[in-house]
Amino acid sequence: MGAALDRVTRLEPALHAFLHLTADEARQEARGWDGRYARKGSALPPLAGLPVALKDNLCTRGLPTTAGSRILEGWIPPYDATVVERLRAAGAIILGKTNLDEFAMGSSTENSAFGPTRNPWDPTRVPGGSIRQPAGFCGVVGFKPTYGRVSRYGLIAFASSLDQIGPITRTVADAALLFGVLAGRDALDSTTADAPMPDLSAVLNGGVRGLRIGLPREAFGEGLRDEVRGAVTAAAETLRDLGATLVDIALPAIAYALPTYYLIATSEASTNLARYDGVQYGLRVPAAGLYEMYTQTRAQGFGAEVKRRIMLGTYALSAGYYEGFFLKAQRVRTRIRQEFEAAFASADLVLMPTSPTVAFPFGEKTADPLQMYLADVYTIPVNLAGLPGVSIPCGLAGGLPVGLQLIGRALDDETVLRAAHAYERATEWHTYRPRGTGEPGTGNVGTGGAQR
Amino acid sequence: MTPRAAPSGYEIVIGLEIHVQLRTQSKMFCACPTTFGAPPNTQTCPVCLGLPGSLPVLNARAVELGLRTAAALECQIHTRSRFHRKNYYYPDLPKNYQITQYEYKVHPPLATQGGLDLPGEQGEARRVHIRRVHLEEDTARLVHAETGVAPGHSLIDFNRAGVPLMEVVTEPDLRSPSGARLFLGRLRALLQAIEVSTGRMEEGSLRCDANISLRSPGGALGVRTEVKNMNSLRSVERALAYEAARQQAILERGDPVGQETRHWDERRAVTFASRTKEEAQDYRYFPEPDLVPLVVSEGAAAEIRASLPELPEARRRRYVDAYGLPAHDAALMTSSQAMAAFFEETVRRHPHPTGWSETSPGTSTAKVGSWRTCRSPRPIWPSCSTLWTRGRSAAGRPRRSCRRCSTPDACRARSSPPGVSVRSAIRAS
Repeated sequence: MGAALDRVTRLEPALHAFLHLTADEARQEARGWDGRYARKGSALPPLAGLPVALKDNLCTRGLPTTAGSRILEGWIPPYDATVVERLRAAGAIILGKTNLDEFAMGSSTENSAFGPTRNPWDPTRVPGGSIRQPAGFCGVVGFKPTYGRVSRYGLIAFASSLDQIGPITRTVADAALLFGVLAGRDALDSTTADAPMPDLSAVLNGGVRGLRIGLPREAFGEGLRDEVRGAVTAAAETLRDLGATLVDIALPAIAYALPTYYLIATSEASTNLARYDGVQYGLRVPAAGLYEMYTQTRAQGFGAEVKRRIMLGTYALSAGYYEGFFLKAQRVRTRIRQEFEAAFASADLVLMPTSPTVAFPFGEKTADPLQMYLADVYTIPVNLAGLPGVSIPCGLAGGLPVGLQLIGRALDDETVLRAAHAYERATEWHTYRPRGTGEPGTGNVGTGGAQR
Repeated sequence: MTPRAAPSGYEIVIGLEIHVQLRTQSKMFCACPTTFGAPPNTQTCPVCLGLPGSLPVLNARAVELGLRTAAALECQIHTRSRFHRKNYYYPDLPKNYQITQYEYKVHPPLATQGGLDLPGEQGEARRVHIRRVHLEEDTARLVHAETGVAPGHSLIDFNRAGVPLMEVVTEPDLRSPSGARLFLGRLRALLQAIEVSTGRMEEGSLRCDANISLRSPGGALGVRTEVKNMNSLRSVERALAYEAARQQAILERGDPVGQETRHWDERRAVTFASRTKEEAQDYRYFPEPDLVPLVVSEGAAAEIRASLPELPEARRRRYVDAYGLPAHDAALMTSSQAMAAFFEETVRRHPHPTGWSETSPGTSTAKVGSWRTCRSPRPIWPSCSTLWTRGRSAAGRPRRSCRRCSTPDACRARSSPPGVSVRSAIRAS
């Protein structure tokens, strides 16, 4: 715990990863766990004393929760999200709340009302925004479980049918450990799956021998940077060398994933965010009348991207446009899901890049929202289909991490983690650390050499 | 303009939308209690307050009560229905959308296409068709404080937010204000009989809005107005009679009736147009992504149908057939659970009822009466508790006695007529 807090203290001024730190409470809790460790024979929960940082869109009882927005500045939830409860019960210690794009709407943290977070590999570049995409940009493991595996109760909603909570960790084993704690049916979230959870520790070391891994040709075409293609193709070959079979698959409808996602997500967001009206909690801009209070509170409380998405979603749900936009997007979503299902007839996993590029510089895409949306071109089809997906480090390009994405069948989270674990065991990309973070193995980034 | 005058030359067309608070222990989407009259904001949680991150979970008991109603109204129960968000901004709506069941072609509500038979003048039945039965959540209660702790402010009591509501919508099958009143009374008796609702209009557990228009007999439907804020059976009839006369006067002047929402003012006995802007609202309905589709198997629907008790209309026919009651008396004795319980207890103790005689005591316009039976030496009155009017009088004062009695003492004295203890029968029912 001391080491984790020291590192936060040292790096936070340069990175601005946290919106709220709970260092004192964390130290105190850690001492409590030290005592329990010392007493022999007492059974300890799975995450006893382990430090965890929570994205600031997870409600934490007694701790400020902003979702990266001015409109929630100062709001202190009276309740814990289900995942927070489960983490606490498993012995995890909360270090603080981390920054995010306002209401998780973005790919770079540039939309946070409280300033951007910097990429530890290069402070002039973005860290990304979500689970897999930032894991890819920052050279760590990011796992998005099957939609419905992890309760969303207490997650401040952006797009209800697409939002999913998952871990970002150093290793796949850590991600699996955390997933085991987070996942499971929750009576407070009707959309959670009532499906048995696998014993992850038993399957994690199963290897990839005999697995068929599908490479969608559409994911390796236009827009993909050569050095990313090279690293991901090499990773596929590594998996083949480990005993997997590579197969060619087709997912033509993912070409329509971006517009589909941005119609469904904005439609849901436009009503999810209607509650921020100045009446009960958060920002209230006093005004003469009710509607003036509504409009001024929302005008001052929301940032530009949030407003853009609320307007887009409101439009897509409006009379006369609903059929052409929202319903059509739902049909394309079904089509994408069906194509994945068809692909899973000939493959056990789908492999593609996490992102088309490495982490991009600040400001590069802020002027053009469409360019920004393209940063998620490989991750959002998986959200639309509700499938489990993981990003693991698979190389460096120009000194910056490249992410490999593995996608599995719905509720087959364990095969995704198993294959990712096998790849991680066979390679050393996950051991590389950015320069200047003062960690073992920091040197030699960007050389491509295997050096721990 | 004489509000009570029946419009001549025009046919009145009325459809009703009835909101029913369901008799559940907890709210529609959370575990908060639904007790009426609790101190403000003491029955709330993150879900019914619409706090960020909270999610709804459907109340299974509310679904069951909705299905009982659908079965009793002989509706088609849909095996798969969905909830939708109805989007609009108002401070009584914590999420600024209401979770409801919108009728969309691919997403039917809980039940559609039913009907309720009404006893006609001569005892024959006339059917009012039911368009739909669906479930939704209630809004919070707004209190506009003129005085007290926050004069000039609007206060919000979230105790009511999320209370289970069922909406029953009729086809425009009603042809008179008195027919609307009769229908609503029979629907209320039915909801009480199947233990879905207390039916207390004065507590807001049963609320009725009406759409009313005039047309030349057999002609196309006229422009309708929606009338709200009718808090008793009597005010439904009065408000609709007023509104029919108002529309007739407009039409006879050669002016068009404006499509608008009007509120009934019980004290002044008029309807008035709402002050809110009447621009066409686009509620942007779309499927609620936080809830899974509501699936009702054929077997479950059949089970619900089989579990229904005797319904008021069947009971009414039985009273006519078995006891030879006149049409009027049979309708009256099945107008509420309490009346039916009183009648059942009467005939259990004194078979062969020989006649119901009605009186209009005091200044009250409500009629009460008593049974004469072949064996009882005295008239048998319903217990006063069956006639007790809860809440407040029209003048705003709390009522101290029932409609029949002039003083509380008289009320108490009459509550236990010799030989019959109807109260215990009512309690047991």
